[in-house]
Amino acid sequence: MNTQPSILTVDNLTAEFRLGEIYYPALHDLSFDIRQGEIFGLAGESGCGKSTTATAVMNMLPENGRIKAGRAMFEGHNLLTLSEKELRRIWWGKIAMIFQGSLNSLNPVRRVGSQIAEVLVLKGGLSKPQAREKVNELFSLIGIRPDRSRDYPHEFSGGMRQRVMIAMAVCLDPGLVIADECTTALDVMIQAQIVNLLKHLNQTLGLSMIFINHDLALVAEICHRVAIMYAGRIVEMGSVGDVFARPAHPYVRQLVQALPLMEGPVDRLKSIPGSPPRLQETPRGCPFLPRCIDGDDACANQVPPMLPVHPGHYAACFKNKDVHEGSR
Amino acid sequence: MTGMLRLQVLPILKQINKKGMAGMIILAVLVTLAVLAPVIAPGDPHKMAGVEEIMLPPGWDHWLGTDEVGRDILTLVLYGTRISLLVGFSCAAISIFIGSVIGLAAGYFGGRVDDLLMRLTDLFVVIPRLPLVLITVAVLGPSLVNTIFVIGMLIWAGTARIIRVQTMSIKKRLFVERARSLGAGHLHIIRRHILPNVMPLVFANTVLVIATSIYLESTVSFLGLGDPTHISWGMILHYAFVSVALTYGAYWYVIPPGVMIVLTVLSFTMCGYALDEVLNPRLRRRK
Amino acid sequence: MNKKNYVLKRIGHSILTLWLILTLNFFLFRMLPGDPLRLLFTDPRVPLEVLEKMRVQYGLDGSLLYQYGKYLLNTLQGELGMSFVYNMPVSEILVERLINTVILLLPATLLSILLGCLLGIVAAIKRGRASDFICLSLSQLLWATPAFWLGLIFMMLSSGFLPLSGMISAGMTFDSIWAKGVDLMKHMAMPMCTLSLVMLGQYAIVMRNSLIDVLTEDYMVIARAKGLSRVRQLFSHALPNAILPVMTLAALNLGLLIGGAIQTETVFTWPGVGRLVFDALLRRDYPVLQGAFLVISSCALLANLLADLFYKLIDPRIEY
Repeated sequence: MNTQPSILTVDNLTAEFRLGEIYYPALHDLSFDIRQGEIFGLAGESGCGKSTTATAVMNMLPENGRIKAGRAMFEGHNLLTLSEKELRRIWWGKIAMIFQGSLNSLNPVRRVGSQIAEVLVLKGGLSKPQAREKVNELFSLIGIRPDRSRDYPHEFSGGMRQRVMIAMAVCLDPGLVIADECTTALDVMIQAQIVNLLKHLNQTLGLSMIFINHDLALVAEICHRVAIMYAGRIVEMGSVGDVFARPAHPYVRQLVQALPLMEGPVDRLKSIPGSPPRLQETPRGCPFLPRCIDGDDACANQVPPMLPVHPGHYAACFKNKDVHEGSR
Repeated sequence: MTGMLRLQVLPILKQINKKGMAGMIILAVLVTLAVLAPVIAPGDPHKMAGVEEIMLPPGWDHWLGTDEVGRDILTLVLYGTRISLLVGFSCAAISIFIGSVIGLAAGYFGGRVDDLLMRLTDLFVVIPRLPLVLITVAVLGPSLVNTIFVIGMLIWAGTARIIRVQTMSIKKRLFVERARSLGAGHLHIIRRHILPNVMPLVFANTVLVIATSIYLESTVSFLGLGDPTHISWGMILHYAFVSVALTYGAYWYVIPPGVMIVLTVLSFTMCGYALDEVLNPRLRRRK
Repeated sequence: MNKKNYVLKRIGHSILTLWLILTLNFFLFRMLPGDPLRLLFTDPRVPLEVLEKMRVQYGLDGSLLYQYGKYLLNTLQGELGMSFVYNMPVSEILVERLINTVILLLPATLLSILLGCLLGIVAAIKRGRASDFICLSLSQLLWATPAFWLGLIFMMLSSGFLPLSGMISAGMTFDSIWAKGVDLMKHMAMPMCTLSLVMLGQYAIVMRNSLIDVLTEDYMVIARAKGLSRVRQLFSHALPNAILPVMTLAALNLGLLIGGAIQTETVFTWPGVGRLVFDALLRRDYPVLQGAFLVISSCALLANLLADLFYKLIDPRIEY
């Protein structure tokens, strides 16, 4: 278990979005921490709020979003109360983001190398020749020929662009990297490459990471600890081993069951009937209740808080089965 | 027919934004003025008065003053409304007609026909409009009919292009193929399937064509090729320019016709944009 | 097809269009009720030697087709005929006037691009708010304003302290280039203002729409996340993308302007190609009109071609 100090501590983060004139809550009371040197997974289905969490923590919400409550402590500062000017010093230099690599994630009219060099010169204090050197180093690190840094983004494949984005993210040696759906829209082989690269960076550079993804298999493969989100809340959190092998929350249990196994007889694919609540609906009780087989009235009246299942393993369910019984 | 009109027109009207509504209101006022000009104009546009009446600044007798031959400027401006709107609508009609024929043919038949027609259209897109209109009107002789004819003949290119693109995209759709396989003739398909889908987009473009025509006519008249028997706003400004109005400081001569031109062109343009936003599915997403 | 083939194909199209323009030019002036050249022979203004020269030059004894061929040949050699009014070769007149027009047009265009872009940038950044509405409305208003009317208004406003016509004060000698330059500037001020104002609307609107699109792109989010200042985000990342359509428009307009300054040059009596057309129209100087029309259309065609090639060349994304 990772007993390193936390580099990022998020307490009770609540954020909302404006649709038309009204604000609707998107994130409810999120609390988690990222420890030094770990890869922390944030998983859940589309729309559960994982990407929103990333932008909220960085205090980079779009114009129609705002933070309602909570803290995000990083290096002694609360990111959520800093001004844009102060945030700019932290952005990229201390915390960097890797976004989903669409064609237009890199500026199409500028050479790829110059987009990385720009950050090195402006924020890293390097001279232009030094920056060029570093860009070459970075390209070697991500496994692309350094002379390709003079090419334009459209001359790269999707996987290569993603690797460039990773290089761009780590170029200032940030303490924390947030990787938001950075494997989506890539084929499986490339996904494996990216994931291995991230693992490599974590092991060699000691890079702490928040790995946001909807693909549970990938999360299980690369992360040390994981938080599963549902309808804007964290419903289960713990080490990857605990959460995936011994899930305590009904939603997570069904998710894990839904993953088809490589071995054994293949029946029909299991899915969870129903769908998550819409942004405009905020149920009074547990958001998963309509789809839960174990639910009852107690679940309808109060949102279950994160209750301990096992040291380091928490689940937001009143009916936490003591799943660790058997392993004693 | 009216039922369908109501079904299609009313929802469109509701969606038009504020600027578009302002434009439509102004246009309604202008049309009213044009129609009622002979009734509400205080004077006779052709009547030239005696020496005491020339170059009078605005006053009770003449709200907008008089020109260098004693005509009441308010009257001239009101009658000018008729000419401008006449020009605008006529040219637009010609332009739609030619543009539709060419655009439909090019888009529907494609291939060599398309190439040929597009070369022709390109020609009229490249050549600067004003010089061509000026020279052609000079050659044919300045008259209102000639001006309308020439402007209409030279302005269809934009409309043709839009119609062509729309036609090509509709033609690709399944229901056209089905109609063909059922043995429908070309004319039938064009009339019943393609035309109804193309026309809404053309509508917005047409409004802009009207605006451009009015602008062109006023410029042609200003430069001396207008029709002396039909005084348009451009012609009023032409007389202002060649007379001593400027050195006289006769602002009442210069400002009203220009303001009318700007107002008219602007309101047509605003309507055009507003309609385009409503009728053009691609633009709707932008908001 | 690769770059070279595309360029060749495009040039080919332009040559075809040029030929069409020449043909149009020829037949346009033949549409006169009474052939202009035949009218010439009864026009007392034209001296005898000129008539003889023209008879040979234009093959007036031959058929229409023969005349057409002669016309094409003459034009390609730069022989554009003699002006009825000035009694000079049309080509000479055109060259001089062209230079004058460019002297006015170049600064005016640059100014309008600059101001228009500024307006467009402000409108895009403050999208949806009051400044956006004001900028947009201003642009639309200016687009609807006839250049000649604006010129008249400027004339009325500035009469008394700025010269109102011509390019240089007539009959004066100047001590130095500097003094001459200042005099030119004084004459250029009002026409340039008029032209710039009328033209800037379209640049503003194009820049605004282009920038709005660019600002929603992913790379702009990353530019912000990189911790770059707002200014740098705008100038280093947004504008290089947003400016592409503006540059295409500018290139197009540059060619159109040779013919489009007719209004302004007429009002301010600026001795350029536009004013030449106006004068020639008044006095029915057909050779000049024919030559001017050719020059104007060719410039527009050239500008069109260059703009197209330029755009395709500078945007690294375009495939051939």
